[in-house]
Amino acid sequence: MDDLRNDLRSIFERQQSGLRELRGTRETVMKRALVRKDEPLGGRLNIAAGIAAVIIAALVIATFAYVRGRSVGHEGPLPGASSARVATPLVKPPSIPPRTAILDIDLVDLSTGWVLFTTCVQPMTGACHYSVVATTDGGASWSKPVQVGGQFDYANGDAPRTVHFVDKTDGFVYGGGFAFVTHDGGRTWAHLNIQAVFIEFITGRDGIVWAATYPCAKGTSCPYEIRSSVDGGVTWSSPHEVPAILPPLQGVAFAASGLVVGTFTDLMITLDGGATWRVIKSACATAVSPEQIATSDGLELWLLCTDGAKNETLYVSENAGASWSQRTLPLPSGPKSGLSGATGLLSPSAGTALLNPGRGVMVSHDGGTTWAHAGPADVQFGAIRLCSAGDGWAIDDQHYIWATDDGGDHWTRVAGLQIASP
Amino acid sequence: MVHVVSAEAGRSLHERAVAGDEVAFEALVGPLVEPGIRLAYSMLGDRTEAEDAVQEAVTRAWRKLGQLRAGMPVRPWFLAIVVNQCRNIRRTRWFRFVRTSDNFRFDRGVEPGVERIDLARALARRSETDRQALFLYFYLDLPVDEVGVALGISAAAAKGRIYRACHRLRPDLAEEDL
Repeated sequence: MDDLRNDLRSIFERQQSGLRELRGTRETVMKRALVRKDEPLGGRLNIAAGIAAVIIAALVIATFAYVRGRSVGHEGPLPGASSARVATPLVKPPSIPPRTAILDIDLVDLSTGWVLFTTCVQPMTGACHYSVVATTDGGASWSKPVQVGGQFDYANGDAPRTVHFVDKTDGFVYGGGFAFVTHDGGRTWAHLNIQAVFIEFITGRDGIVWAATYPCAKGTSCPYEIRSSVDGGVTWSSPHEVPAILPPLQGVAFAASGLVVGTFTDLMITLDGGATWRVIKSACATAVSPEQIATSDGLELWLLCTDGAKNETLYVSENAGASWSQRTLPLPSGPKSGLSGATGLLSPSAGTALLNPGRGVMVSHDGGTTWAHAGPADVQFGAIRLCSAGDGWAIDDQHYIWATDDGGDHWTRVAGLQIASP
Repeated sequence: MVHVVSAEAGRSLHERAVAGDEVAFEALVGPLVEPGIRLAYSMLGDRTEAEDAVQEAVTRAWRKLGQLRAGMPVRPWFLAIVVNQCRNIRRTRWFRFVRTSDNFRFDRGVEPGVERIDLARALARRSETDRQALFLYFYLDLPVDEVGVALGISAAAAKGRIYRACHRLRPDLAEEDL
């Protein structure tokens, strides 16, 4: 018992190390608190809160009545649902035009999300266009498509392929050579105003968003750059050079200002907006490069390595990359993605990871030691996105959106974006 | 480290504080600010948020001082207000997205041993209420009954929660060891 007590005290002491010195804090806190002590409890704030509560209650009742009304005579919950905990299991008729392909999805909560799709499908009959549709009711209804940018040649590999939203208003659509930004939830889009020739990734939510770019012309060599924005991409920090010649393939944001970046050879981590970096030796063997990285806290790192022939190996570090342990992948063939822009490895919280093996989702809650199948076993998931430790969406190869509210253990089909065959 | 203000010793302070004596209130609640901040920090992982939470808790304590029954210890009552305030903060969407650092620090000088990494990871997988109970019991050294008051549960429930949490961390632990 004493050992446990001492060990727990040590752990708590270490967690409390961020507090450092508390001298003087007591006086400051007491002084500030007592300044407000005579503010009336039933002041305008409470009146406003009461009015807000009444309005919210009315909206909840109206929404409930609306949903109940819509359910009558409409398609109800679809078969194959594995959980009833996610709301709005309704499916609307197709809202995306025929001859389109879904590229990516993203969400900021289980109600609010976006789908990026393109007209760039074979056989090509003209220029490619890229559009976004949005939902604010969990997929029950969708906005009209909004075209992002102009037209692209079908052979242009730098065309948009990813949609990423920071919050309900600020978001990005980008590809290798183009990036667009919206500040009104996707109603209008403009070119992202940063100096870059190539866009490697844009990641991060709410507090901070990161952009990794290449500033030099094709054929010239210079360092890649990382910059950050704390206002949803309206303004950006000065660029910081990435201490690697190779391109930053993937970035995973964590905590308030942390970012882990994976290159072909190493991982790098910054905690100060990109000003300083620590290089982490990759666990991937020579001639095998990182394919996916994931982390929820910057301390526990997940690394999926590939040799280019879909022979994949999974490593986990519990000490920010100081050492790595190999884990057994749940499937011999390793994960693979069915849709462009898909994510095959995610870690929503410490100890937990999701793998996209091609059919359903594999989930581990013990640091990758054991895995369990989650979601429908006969459905191929493409893009999987999480907006918090619990909430996320996936889109399957039939263009249905699935939702989870428990970190990936259960998935419910909540919306359809059916596309007619050419 | 933690100053205990017992009901017996604090009675007159309590009466004076209820009557509007700020000095008495500060003497009553002031010593609990530091453990309050530590508790809030363990829940929120952010010093500024923790201090704001405790500041709000102090204001609420002033307003609710009349509800503190005679003979009831001040410390768990105040820490219960801190816990509720932290829970309110954690419920906000902004907090869910931004403050997920879990006290992460790159402090190589205090790198824990492997066995403590395992224990820390096991602790991180416990529910928030379990972690709060362990923090109050093992770190702030509150007795079981005060842990119960702070968490809004009975002493027996607090003891059971602490034991079950310990048992999951160290399965060979016996309940009588608590």
